[in-house]
Amino acid sequence: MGLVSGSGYFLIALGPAVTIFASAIAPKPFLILAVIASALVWLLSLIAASIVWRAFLPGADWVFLPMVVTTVALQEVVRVLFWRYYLKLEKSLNVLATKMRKPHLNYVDRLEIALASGVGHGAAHAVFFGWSVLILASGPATYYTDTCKQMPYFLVTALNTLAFFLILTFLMVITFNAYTKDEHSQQLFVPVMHFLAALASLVNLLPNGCIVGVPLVFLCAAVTMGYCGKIVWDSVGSSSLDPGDLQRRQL
Amino acid sequence: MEKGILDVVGGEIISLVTPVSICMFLVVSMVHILDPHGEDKPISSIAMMAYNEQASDSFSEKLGGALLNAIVFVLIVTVVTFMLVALFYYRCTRCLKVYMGMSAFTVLAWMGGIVAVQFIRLYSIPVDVVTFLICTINFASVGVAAVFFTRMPILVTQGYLVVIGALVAFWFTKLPEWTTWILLLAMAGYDVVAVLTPRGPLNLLVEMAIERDEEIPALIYEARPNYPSGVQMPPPSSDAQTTRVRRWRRNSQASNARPDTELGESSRSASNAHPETTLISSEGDSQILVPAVPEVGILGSRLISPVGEAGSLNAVSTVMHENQVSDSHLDDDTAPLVQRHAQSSASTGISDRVEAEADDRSRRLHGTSQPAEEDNEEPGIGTSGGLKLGLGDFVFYSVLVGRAAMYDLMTVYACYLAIVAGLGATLILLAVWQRALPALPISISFGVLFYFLARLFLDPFVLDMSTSLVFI
Repeated sequence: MGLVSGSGYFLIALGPAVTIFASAIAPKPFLILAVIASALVWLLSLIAASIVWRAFLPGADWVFLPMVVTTVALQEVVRVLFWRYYLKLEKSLNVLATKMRKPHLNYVDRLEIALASGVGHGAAHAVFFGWSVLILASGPATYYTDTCKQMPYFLVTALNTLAFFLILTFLMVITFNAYTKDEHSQQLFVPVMHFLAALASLVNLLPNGCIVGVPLVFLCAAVTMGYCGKIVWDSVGSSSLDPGDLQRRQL
Repeated sequence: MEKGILDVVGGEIISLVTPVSICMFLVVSMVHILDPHGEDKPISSIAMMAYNEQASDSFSEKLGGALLNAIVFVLIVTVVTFMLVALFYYRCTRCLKVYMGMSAFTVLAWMGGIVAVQFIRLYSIPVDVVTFLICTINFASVGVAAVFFTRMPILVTQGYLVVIGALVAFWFTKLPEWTTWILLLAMAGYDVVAVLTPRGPLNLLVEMAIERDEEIPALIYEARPNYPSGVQMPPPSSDAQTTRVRRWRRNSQASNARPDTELGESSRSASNAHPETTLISSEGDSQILVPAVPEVGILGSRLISPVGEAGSLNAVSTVMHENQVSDSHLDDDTAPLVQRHAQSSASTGISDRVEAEADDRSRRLHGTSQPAEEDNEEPGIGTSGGLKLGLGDFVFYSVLVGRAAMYDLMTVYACYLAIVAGLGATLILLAVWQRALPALPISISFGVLFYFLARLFLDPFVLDMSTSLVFI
């Protein structure tokens, strides 16, 4: 085990993250800054939630339900605030663009920033919930929890981390699109999906729950990705693939 | 496809954040592999002169002892910095260079050697003493040459600077816990005082360097810009310098009239998104950006002072000197370029050229060395491009993160984000205040705050959830 399993779990949990980062985000420095800023915002929301709930931990299993609900609610509120703040930032960027004689940010740019913010959110989640635990897998032996005797604990964590990374990343893209186009159904989809995914992971608390919990979370991830893909394709992909056309697509 | 603003904005910040991240990553890896719980017996050093922390001491003893250690350390650093200022004042640059070269060699060969031996021991790597010695000494010699004396590919120089910073930071993580935290806060405070007060040693150093238009003897990491094709940096030689100067002059004369256009077209320009104050850092020859107040920071004066015995090295900080390549030589009548603002060790190593807003800033030009007179001399303080960050900043950021690594990966990540956020905030302040700023205080305070928040609140919260396989 050891190094092999450690690297394996890393690739499962963070492989797509690294790929998305390297291909879509790393070439543009501003997007890297967006990743860091988004990760910081998410960290702050998590710290706020943890200060409130610290007194109740470690607690009985039922404590998890209100904890999860309130924390997810807080994150969704922060998401809306993030969007509002982004609008202000975009104005400044456009002023700068004028000075530098570059085009203003268009819809595709906005989606790229959304992707970067989502990656920040997802990566921060992956590191805190996943990687901080998975790093132990590079040591000897493995670990099973009582409630999940079917899969090693690290594998379940890695799979959940992967699913949540995908969910959080693409939920942010959907959010930006939803608020840009003022689509209420999409705006509602985001918090609902986040809640569903978090509640699905609560199923893991039951004995043998992970057999159901992990596929459920992946189902959420698949739905999120599918929905996001459909939205983006409808908005952007259906036009010609001429880059000039994409550039000109204004907000 | 035309490059949009996303391709351009933030490039220079990232060019600093990347080496800082790499340095932190190196330190965290070394800590995690070699000393994950901070169990290594701390070596005696200046930072522990007043009090040797024991695990069995009481809370107040530890706190008091750590404060004493921190005060002693800051005093010693202040004294040494003033010595450095004096040496610089009396123009003993040779002496400084030799000293710094020796320090860098010690760090790379001795500290690097010890770390390498620990790795060899841990992984049972088969290597004999002779090979090891040859490799270490070569590694260290090339490092010293790359950083101080010759011009090498920029990646080599940058790489060695990062390695020096990582090794020094790793050594600092050997200090006992309380001492480390109080020391970090004390150094942040010292930084503020040293850079911002008029009589502060770093401020004096900076002012002297500006007056004389000489290079500050300081270890500075410089993020070189990407020069557009046709404006390559020629190999170092006085002829080359003259060539470069001439080339620059032609450019500058052409661009003198319309600096804005140059800025707009420069693919290297990056800026903070600040509507009123457009801060553009651009490298190289075509920009003429001058802040009203020269922002010069000096690399924190922390000197490596090896203690004579059996190799216990003291902490450090080096004022190292990096060869600046002059990329602009100007006549009296051509607009001088301002350059570089060396950063104080505490200061953000952002050397920015600020676009002069017509209404609120006057252009002030700094003459740089004339080509005829100074062919063989080092260019002055204003002459290089690129953002700079003092190596002392690298060291202390990495110490904080390294110490966080001894607790948990979560604290590492929280501190990393905090430090990067602090660095960003310092850059914004730099754009607003237009003067040399210390880079340590904001990042270190955020870092320490986030460490304790993460350790006390976040860690139990997240661990409780993830061990129960609940995710949010």
